[in-house]
Amino acid sequence: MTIGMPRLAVTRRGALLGAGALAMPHIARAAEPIRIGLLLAKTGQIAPQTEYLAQGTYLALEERGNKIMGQPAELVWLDEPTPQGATQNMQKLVQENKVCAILGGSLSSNALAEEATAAQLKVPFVCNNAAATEITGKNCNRYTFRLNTPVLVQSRMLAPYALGYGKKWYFITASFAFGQDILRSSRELLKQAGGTEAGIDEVPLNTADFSSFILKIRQAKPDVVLGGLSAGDLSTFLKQWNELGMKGKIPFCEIAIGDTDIWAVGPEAANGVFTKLWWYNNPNNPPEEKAFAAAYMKKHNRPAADKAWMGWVTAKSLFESIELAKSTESMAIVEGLENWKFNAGSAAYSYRKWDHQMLLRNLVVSVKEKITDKWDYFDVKASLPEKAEDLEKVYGTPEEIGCKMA
Amino acid sequence: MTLLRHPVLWIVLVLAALTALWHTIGAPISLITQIAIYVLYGAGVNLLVGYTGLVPFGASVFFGCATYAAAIAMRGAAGNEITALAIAVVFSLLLAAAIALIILRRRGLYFSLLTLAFSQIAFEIAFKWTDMTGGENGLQGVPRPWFVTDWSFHIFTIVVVALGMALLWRIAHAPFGRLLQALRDNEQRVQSLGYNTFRIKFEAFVIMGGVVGLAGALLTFMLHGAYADNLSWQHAGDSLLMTVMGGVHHFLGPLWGAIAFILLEDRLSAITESWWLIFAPIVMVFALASPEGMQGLVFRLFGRDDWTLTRRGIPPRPARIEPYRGGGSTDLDATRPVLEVRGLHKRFGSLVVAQDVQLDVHPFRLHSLIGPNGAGKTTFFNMLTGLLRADSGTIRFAGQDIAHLPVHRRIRLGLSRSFQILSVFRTLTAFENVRVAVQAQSPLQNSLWRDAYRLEELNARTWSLLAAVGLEDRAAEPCANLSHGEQRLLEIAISLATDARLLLLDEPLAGLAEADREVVGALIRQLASTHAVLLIEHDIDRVLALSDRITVLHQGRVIADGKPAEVANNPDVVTAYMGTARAGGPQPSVHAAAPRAVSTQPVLQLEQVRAGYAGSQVLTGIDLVVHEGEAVTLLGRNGVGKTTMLRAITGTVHKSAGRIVMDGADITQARPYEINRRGISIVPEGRRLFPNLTVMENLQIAARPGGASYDEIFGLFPKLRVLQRARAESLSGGERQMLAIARALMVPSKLILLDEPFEGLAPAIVQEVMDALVRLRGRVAMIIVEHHAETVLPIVDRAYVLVNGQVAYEGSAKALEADHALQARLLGVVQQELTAA
Amino acid sequence: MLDIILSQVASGLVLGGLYVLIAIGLSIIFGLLGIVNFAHGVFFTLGAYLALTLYQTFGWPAVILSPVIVGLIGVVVERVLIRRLYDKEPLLSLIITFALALMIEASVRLIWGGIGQPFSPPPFLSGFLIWGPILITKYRLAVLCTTAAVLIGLWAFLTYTKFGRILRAGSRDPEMVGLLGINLPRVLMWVFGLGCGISGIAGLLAAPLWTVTPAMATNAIMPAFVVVAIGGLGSFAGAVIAGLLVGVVIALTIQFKPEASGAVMYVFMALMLLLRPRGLLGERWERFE
Repeated sequence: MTIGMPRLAVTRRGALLGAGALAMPHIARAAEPIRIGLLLAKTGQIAPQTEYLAQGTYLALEERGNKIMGQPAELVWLDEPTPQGATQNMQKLVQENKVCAILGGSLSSNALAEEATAAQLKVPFVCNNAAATEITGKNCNRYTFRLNTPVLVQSRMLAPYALGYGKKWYFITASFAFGQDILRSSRELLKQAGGTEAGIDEVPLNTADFSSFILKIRQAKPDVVLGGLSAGDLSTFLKQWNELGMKGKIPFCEIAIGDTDIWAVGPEAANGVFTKLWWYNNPNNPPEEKAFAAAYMKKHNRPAADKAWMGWVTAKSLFESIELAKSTESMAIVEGLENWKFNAGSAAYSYRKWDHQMLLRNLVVSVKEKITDKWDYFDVKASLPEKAEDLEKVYGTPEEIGCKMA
Repeated sequence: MTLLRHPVLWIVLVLAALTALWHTIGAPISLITQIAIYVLYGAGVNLLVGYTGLVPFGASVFFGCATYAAAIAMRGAAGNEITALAIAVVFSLLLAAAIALIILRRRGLYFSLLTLAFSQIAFEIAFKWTDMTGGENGLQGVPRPWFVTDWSFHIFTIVVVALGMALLWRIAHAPFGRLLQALRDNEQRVQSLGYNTFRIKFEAFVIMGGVVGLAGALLTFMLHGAYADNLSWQHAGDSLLMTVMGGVHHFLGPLWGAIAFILLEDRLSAITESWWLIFAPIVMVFALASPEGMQGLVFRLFGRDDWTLTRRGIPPRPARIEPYRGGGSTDLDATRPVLEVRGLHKRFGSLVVAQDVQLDVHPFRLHSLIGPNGAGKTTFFNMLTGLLRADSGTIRFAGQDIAHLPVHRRIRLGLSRSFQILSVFRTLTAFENVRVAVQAQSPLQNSLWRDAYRLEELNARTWSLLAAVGLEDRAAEPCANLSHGEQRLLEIAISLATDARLLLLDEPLAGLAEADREVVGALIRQLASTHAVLLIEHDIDRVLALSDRITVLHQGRVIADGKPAEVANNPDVVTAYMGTARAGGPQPSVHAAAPRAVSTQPVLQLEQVRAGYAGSQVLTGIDLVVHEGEAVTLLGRNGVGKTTMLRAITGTVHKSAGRIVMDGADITQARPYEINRRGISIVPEGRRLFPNLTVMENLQIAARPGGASYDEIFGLFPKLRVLQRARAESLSGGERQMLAIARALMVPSKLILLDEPFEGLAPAIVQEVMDALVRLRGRVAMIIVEHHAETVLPIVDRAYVLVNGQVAYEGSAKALEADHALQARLLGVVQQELTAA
Repeated sequence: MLDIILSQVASGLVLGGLYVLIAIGLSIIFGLLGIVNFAHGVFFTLGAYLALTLYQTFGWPAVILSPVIVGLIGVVVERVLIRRLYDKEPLLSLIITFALALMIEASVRLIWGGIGQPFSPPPFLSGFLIWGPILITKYRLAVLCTTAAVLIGLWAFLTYTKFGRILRAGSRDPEMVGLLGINLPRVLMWVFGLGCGISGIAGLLAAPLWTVTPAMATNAIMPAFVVVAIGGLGSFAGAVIAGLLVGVVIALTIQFKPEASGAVMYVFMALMLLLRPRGLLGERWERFE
């Protein structure tokens, strides 16, 4: 494997698989490297984001000279087109490619299927993107770890901030699980705060024209609009929000914006207050992350999106845990991950022992008034929860989470 | 032995081989499990596509919904896999029945789009309804209490798939399954045999739903969960794509397709992020190169082109074939008419096709219905059988008014019909063609379980019918391999099979060679001794010789009814056939018959031209020459090949031999537009105006420099000037004819072909059109096709008379005009001394 | 209440206008070539992406070239691929254009990348107008006007030019058109290009409104099929009426039952086809039965 060209290496390996694998996938393996599986969609709506996830993951391996425990290591990237494809490719990674652990899970449906398969195959699985609450909730298992902050927790973090704009909220949320979770939790929080609902709109997936929704919001005159739209739909909404002259008129808040979503909106239309896990230009980033952002910039000639960091940090956690465990044996890696900690200045992340959810403070960012750099959209407003001690609480108690590991 | 040839054994063997291979290379077995599931999915879809000829683009609605049904059942009360599968299948059957009721009334593209719409609606619901379906997250944690390991479930899946496929194979051979293929080939014919085609399609659709649902439920267990992806439009076509790749006309097509599709996806997606970039061209090239799919491609390498939707071959021919006996006619009373038609009216817009039609048909008689082209004969048959509804009037058949019954009910009462245009099941064997018809009388006609080829009684009757028309030696041939004459005979055998009391035969002699005409004629005569027969036929000589009674239709009216001799001498009939001249109709007001100096420079020459349509030879060696500026008429009775000859000249029919030369250049294989550009324009039969264009636009589209100017045209047809902004569809018959001629003149042409320019026109209009033609004479050469010799002979220089695809007379128009006996022999309704000859 | 409904209708008409533009090309190709073009949506995508690239390279006026280029790509596709499908089963054209759609989408992803591209309306069209109860942005108004202009132009083209006459005539009796000395196959090639080009115009117009991603065809092709089916296969006026209707129905559904706004057009289509088997203005056409 050539340093700096992981994609090519994968391709070459893939070609071998394609040509020879049908007959004999047991290609002579001279020095058996440590193999890590990467399970990320290569096509479909999510593909633009998985590109960053994968790049971050590869960068994490390159940082360590493509070695784990001093042995050569490599990544094997397979597609996750659908839950069934994901399940199968996961089996393939384990049985055919003999990987010792798997990173991936870009969509909630895929990740939920993968986590069940991971338990069945007894292979450590670190989910680097999906945000469905159940992954580390009632579906949790010993082999699955997850980075992304669950939807419910992010809502909880954003709500107090949004209340700062007023108590009359308008909800515009996706009409499927992601949006439904946001809607349910946010309404509850609003009720507790004694606010009123100006309106609720549930938006089907792949809505192309939001003007009718925006007209309704305009008429309802809320203090703040609370969004729960998923990737592409959010970009479209923000474009049209600006086009219909609403930018700056009514504040718009949403959880979990991806950098690629806001970049697709363009500087003219970008607008709003969001939560997110990481921002490349956050002055408070610890040196290690700053080094990562610089390395990414150098290699790909564009800033690292949050997804790149997510790929990087999950990969890093896995690699370091293997070293910690000094073994590629499944249970050892699981224990390694359970004890892994990333401690750099104010940022301290680790997976919670009893549900394997990473405890992590989220950022509140708002789009700059004037965007001069075509990448630099956000000002970091806060890091939530404000006190690190509240992390455990905000992520939920065992009773709330409902995770029972066998 | 038969077990060894069972395709399900192949499926099991192929899947077992793949399983063994995967085991050896240590790859996860679930990929093969998935292939097995998609084989069943594809085969269910193929029951509609390959067997029934319906293309459901969104069969995924059953696949996807069943995955949820199984998952929900499993999380609920169903304690084990088998129960959950059963629940999912029942759910799918019900869902399919409900959807079928809504969309099966639509056909073709609308049907495909509607299935896709249902799949989309299901997707929207599943994606949104998080409480029930898990929404975007899907449902996880579906247990597999009985088949815990991947291997045990894999084996279970293969067993279930094999059982499912065996069931489909069984159904394909049952009377019901065999009907599906007949329906695919020719739905109208199936209907006219007395089957309720809606019910057949409905059942096929529901079975498809059940099979696809079973596959979907298996997928749930494989994944331990259910997800919405299968319902999205990107995946809606997966099963169809696989089936087409494998070959829709092969039972094992879905097997090869599923293997190729899933393995390619698996391997390509590991290599590249844009695997569709590689896969799509493979699919496209493959689909174009081998429309019959992978199995078709392999077959072609071995020189085979047959289909394998069912077993090859037909039941063994019995040692002794029972001679055919007309069935069901014992209760007929020869003295009372079996069919009584009173006051039947029908019009299409301004065109009256039936006007107060009265007709009685008695048993044990050969009753013929004749009349010139466009008299409304076939329309009348369509009204009798119910393909068309009459505007008013009664049709009493066997004592019951049937005017408001649907087609299949009328047929079941004892009507049977053969079609003017061959209406057989082209891809089925001759045996199967007849057997499907025989089956319509059997109480087992919709059986899903019995093997259709083991119903001995039906087989025996099929053989009798085949023997009756002399096709018993050709029984195993696919219909498409039979000659035109044999297909005609087959058509009759099919019509006989329904045990009809009344046989309606529509031009059974069309396109037959003389020897075949004798055979079929004798058969029809023989049938008249056991049935009532109503015959439409243009071979007047034979009609006169064979019939007991003749009714003549003209422009939708009955103009004569009686014994052959009476009818032949009826002046109205003579006028209808021979033209209006003798009855004192219009005469060219410009006297044109004066001898003119005609150029000897040929414009067009035909040398030994042979041409025809699929299988039937209509022109059998024609020689013809037209000189510059000459007017030639082409005469002959209906069906002798006049129109085909014009089509041969204009390049719209395939010529199997001979040469056509225009101005010294060979145009035999030229394309129609090239021929037109060389200077041949046509006024086609039925005018063929563009109904959605105005008069002016119809002219504009043809206009080219060198053709007639608009002023010239309006000078020739003053009426068109007034009508220039009217749409062609609103014109009357005469106006249409004028426009068609005018349109042909807009093209700079040296030769104009006119196909029955006077057909269906009122006498005053005939006069106008004729005057226009006379004015054109000498300016361009013309070929005028006519069957009224008297009308056309005065305005042309020379005449050709065709009889059965050959030139029977060639000479000056004057000579033919004078020779009444010759005219009568070649063209008229005169009883020839057939028996004496 | 009435004002918001009026506003919604206006906004539905803009959306409907875009649907009409996508559907009309599909309908023309259906009617004349007998091809079910599943790849129609990707020409919409290409229109959007080419406009983006032209804008970035040459500035706003250049975007007009985008539909022209899309049309020319369509012509090439017809010559290479579609031409081979005319005398084949409809099933085959379904499969091949489906594969073509996925292939072009993959190519777009390869060329422009998978990430959504920022693209906003030109500055001279930003801002909005308020007339009484109706609020409409300048850009949307421009889209509506352009749509109307394209449709009127297309109508005039089909009505008053020789090419248009040949198209209308060819849709009813292609053989007779050949018998009048016209090389119809060559005309059909341009028809396919024209249909794709109009789809490209829709892509160009939608690019500043929708998110420009390789998968944006998904938002175009399904509504287009629905519109064509509701309007009647091959009917120009039918597609126009149905497109606007679908747009308005979606807008009103958003007003009253927003979560159903995705499925409503399919339900609408199923209902319409039950009431009128061949759509609003569809005529009996053997090739679609």
